[in-house]
Amino acid sequence: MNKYKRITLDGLIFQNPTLMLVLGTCPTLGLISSASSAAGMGLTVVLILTLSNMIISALKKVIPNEVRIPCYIVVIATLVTFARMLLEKFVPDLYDSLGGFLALIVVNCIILGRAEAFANKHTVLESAVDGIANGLGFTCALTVMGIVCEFLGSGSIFGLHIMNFSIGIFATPAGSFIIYGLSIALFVYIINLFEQNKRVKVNKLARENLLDKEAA
Amino acid sequence: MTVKQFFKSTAFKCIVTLLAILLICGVFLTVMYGFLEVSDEERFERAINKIYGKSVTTEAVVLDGKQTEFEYSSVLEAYKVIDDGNYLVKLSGKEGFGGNVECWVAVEMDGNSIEGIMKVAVDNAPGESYIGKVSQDALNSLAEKAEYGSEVMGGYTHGSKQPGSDYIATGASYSMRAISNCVNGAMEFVAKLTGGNGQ
Repeated sequence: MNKYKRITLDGLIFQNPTLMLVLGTCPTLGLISSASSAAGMGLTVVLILTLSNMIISALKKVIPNEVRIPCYIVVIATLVTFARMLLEKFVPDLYDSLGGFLALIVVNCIILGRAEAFANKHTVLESAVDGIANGLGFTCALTVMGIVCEFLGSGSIFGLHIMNFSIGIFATPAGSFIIYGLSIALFVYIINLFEQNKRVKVNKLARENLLDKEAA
Repeated sequence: MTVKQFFKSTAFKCIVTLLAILLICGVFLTVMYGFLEVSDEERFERAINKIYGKSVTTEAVVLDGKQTEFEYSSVLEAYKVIDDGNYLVKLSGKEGFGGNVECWVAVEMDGNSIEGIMKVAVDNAPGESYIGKVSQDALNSLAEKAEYGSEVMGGYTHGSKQPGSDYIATGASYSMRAISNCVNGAMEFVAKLTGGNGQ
């Protein structure tokens, strides 16, 4: 499999930071009660994660191993501050809705985790692809859970009122926690089914090859 | 360790790298701040848009010589909206969660008497968490309930430690108390400014 395709599929599905690795839980629980906040947070993380991965990958030979973590934190904090400035200037509503969680991206373990686990061992291009894939994986997970929570909690999707129906708990972080848990269970179940089917196909193919060889 | 050895050591390399990265990041952010700074005028325009949904012409009220300090709030800025004669007052309300809460309060006027509160918008609430955020619906209903002459706003009385039943919204309770104080202060300020009791 092409390495870029593998990196992309890992970030989006097989190593999805939110649903498979259970990283970035704090913003997930705090923001998925609104689909638009969840999507906004996800896209901000895509930007910061991609840029931080690229910068850290480019500087990996310059930064001494002993001070790599402080250097990563400085780079990530700078990018988060830059993203805050951009959002405050051009998207003030999103800036207000994200509140303190925007500043907390500095300590988001997805970003530091990808820097440490991937960016400092791979090329700039691979790191950029990894940043985009993981960021989009995070965004998709948050947005889908946000849609479910917002619909159940206030009967609307992306602020658009759909029906007079609401279950109060889903508008709170407690409801988000329930939806998050159920989403992880469903996602892992689907991935397991997929991998089981894949294993069955591979075994079948191997058996057929063995029989062909024996017949020959 | 000699000086020469120090300059060749990993420790020196670490210090230089870290300082270089800090310097580059600092310069980058300073330059970006120059381009992306949100000016006071822009903030004011945003507050107006939050309340009116469009740009309106305003005239600043001179605060010198006027009472701006009230028991539970203080007036920071005030404007008269030329288009409809209403007043837009920015106040700092005391007893907020984690500190004072700054709010914009649009006081609706009918001539020289106060009709009520048109809208309330939070400008700055330092101790407010996302989870304990006061919703815009709560602010809107606070505006609906506001009536000049009453000091009980949104279920809170001054100095009360027990929030009213309407706005119990997790950690937002104390922010709501400060917002109520802003609304009370705005009505008191405008009533004194217009020279009457607002009735």
